[in-house]
Amino acid sequence: MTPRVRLSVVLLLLVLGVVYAPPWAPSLAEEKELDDLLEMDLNELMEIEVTTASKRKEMLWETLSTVRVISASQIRDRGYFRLDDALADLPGIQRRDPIGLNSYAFFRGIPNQNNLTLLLIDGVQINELNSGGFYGGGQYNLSNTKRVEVVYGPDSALYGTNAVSGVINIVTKDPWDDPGLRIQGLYGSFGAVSADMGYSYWEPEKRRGFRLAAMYKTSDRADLTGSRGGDYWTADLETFETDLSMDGKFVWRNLTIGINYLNRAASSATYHTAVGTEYLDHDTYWNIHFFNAHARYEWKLSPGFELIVKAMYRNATVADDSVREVTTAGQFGFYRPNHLLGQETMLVWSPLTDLSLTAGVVTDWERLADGYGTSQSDSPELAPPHPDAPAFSDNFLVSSYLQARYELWGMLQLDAGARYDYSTLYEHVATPRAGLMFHRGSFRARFSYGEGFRAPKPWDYTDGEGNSGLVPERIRSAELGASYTLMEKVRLAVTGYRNVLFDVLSRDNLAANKWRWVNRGRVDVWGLEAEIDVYIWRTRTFANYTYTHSRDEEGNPVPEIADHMANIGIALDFTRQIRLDVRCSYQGARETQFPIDSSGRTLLDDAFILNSTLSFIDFGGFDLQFMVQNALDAEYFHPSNQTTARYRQPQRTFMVKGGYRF
Amino acid sequence: MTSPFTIRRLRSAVGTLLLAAILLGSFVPTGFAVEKDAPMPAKVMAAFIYKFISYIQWPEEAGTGEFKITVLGDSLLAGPLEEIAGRKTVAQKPIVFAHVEKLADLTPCDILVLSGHWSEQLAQVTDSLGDAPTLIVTHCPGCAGNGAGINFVTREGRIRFEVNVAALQRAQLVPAARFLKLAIIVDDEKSKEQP
Repeated sequence: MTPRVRLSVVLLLLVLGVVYAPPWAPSLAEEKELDDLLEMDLNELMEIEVTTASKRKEMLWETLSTVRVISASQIRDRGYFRLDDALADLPGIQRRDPIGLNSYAFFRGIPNQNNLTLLLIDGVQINELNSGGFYGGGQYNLSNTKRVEVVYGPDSALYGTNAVSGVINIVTKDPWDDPGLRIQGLYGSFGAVSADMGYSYWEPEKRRGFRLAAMYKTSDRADLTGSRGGDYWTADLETFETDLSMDGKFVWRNLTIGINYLNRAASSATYHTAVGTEYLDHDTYWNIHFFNAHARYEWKLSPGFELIVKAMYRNATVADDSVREVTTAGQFGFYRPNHLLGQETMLVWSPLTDLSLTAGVVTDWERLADGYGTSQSDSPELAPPHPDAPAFSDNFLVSSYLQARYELWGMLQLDAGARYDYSTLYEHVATPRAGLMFHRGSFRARFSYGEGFRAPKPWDYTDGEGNSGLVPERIRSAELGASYTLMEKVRLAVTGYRNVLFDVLSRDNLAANKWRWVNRGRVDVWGLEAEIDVYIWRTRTFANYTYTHSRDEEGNPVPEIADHMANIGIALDFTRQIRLDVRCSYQGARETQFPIDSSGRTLLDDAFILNSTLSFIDFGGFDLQFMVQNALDAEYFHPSNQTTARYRQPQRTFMVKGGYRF
Repeated sequence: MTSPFTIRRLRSAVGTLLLAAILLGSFVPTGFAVEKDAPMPAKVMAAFIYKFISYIQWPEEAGTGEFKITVLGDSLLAGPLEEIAGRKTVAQKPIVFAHVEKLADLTPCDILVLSGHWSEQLAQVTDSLGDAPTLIVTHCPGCAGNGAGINFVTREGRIRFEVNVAALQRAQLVPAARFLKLAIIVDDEKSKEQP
């Protein structure tokens, strides 16, 4: 038994703990702020539990992690079109958007392929099963989203692999939300069109009902042709993204069944530079499907004793009509299906008034592709044949966790716990976590220590020359935070943290066209996040500032990470039905991985981006919104990890959106 | 095996953190301290009351330039309702909040929220109000049947509300049909007492 495993076992025995009930597990039970409550309708208010689950309610909001919530009203009033837009307003998150097959969010100074962050929908992971990375973009139906909860820092003590630098949970609307039928449509610049609908049926006394929602969205996003995109691509460049989302949620007393289907089909032409290379920038088509289904049942065996059982099926497939690259030699097809079947059994027990325990067992079976099935056509004008299925590897995972929370003297809260994972692919990993919070009145101070890991996937073991000796890359994180709320009108919060990522999975270039993945390198980050929210009269103002000091193992600044970032926004209610929202983001200067031009310059300039939305809400059931993104038409760029050194971001974009509730 | 030095350092760190937390806490103004659990149901019920307004029609002649919510007696609802009054409007009219302890101090209002104590004296309150266009809101067993327009109850750990349609009619208040679909309709014991 390694020292790390021993430490975890000691923690388990001492405090009977793997910790936190996920902040979203019993989503109705959380302690609501008045603003959130006033945004709910009667049906939603009637679903809030007010008695038996009080301990768990407290656990949710008093988690020792930094949790930031984007509410449904913020999504609507700010006119967020894509999930990325919403994340951009949060402190501590920097982005890389290639306007192509994916877009990336870096939490707290660690660039990655979205595989250090988990994305969940209603608590079920949506990360692509093979790479472990989630897909950013427009495929998430924000009109059917009740809130987005963003947890910062490692959370592997709850979720296992890939919960290294953050977790994003999209909570969809329930049958008691938005009663009846609602339809919406949007039209905007760069061919932006979207349509969505949601229908809820709910019988409160019988506690049964369902909600169905669907969304279609398409956009060319930006004009990156010729000099507008930095002369990387020709006038033929395609940057389309077409998204489809369908959700179903069925509730009958304590049983919930959820079904979610996402499809993101996008051009991947920006993956390569076209000007002066063999690559062509049209006819690519990266088509990925996600299908998730889960059933969850809660038994309230007695006051303070609850058993929750969840079963799920997940499918993430790069469809066999995907064309990632087109060269003068032909089109290249890709195909990669992956499946997972799993269950989680969780017990929540409060043996004492001040003590709450959460224990769980997770078992998963995954069938993962070892790589892509590929094919090639003989001409750039011809679509490739459908590739054959790739070889597969099976992975069995058994995990157990035990977490404890103890309240002391009504002002101190101690959390501790650990999770133990055994996988047939990456074997044993133990992840501890502990924390302490002091709260008195409206003041809270907290300290936490946590670890996280990202296990290698079959692809990592076999890519290039292959390396069977890979081990999970790991993070250790300590965080200190304080917040204070004055008369419920002003909220101040400051968080400082230190993250160390080590055994980083890095590409080792052995020779021309020969490479393998190795555990090498380290990222050392410390940072500060400061926030203020002010609610005065008819205005809601927010501002946040982020300082990030991110260095590699040699002490060099980590590319793609800016030292400084800031956001400020104000929402003004002219009346209850007419609202104006204005937001400005400051993106600090940051280094690229490759020289931008022949001068060898590697620094991206800083930029201000202004967004605004004017909303007319519920005029006889009609809603109307006018949105402008990048209102000042700033020419700004995101960094890249490809040879295309930087990506121009969308120009000024106008959108108009209308909706009607039947 | 974990070395004694490591354990000492761990102990020292935990001790320092505890001490720091306690010291920090001692500087927090106690005036801002609030009961940790109390606000949750009170805020939820206050939000219910605010939502009720959009489902109920008050007589036009009762309209003034403001919408008045009064809390009679010592109720946890007073704080969140006052906060709502400061932030929200009703049909572009400001919400005015009042908190009185005695029935004698009560002035005309659109919604009257009774504390536990005054809920026990419900008959006295309804007699005092007569047919005034005031929605009486209570949170006590049987209060809806005894003259309150709306009474909060708990079913399976969730808040539900009883509606006494006859009491609303006496106050010239018209509830929306979709509102009544969500409510538990109760009989009016008061009208049964009438000869």
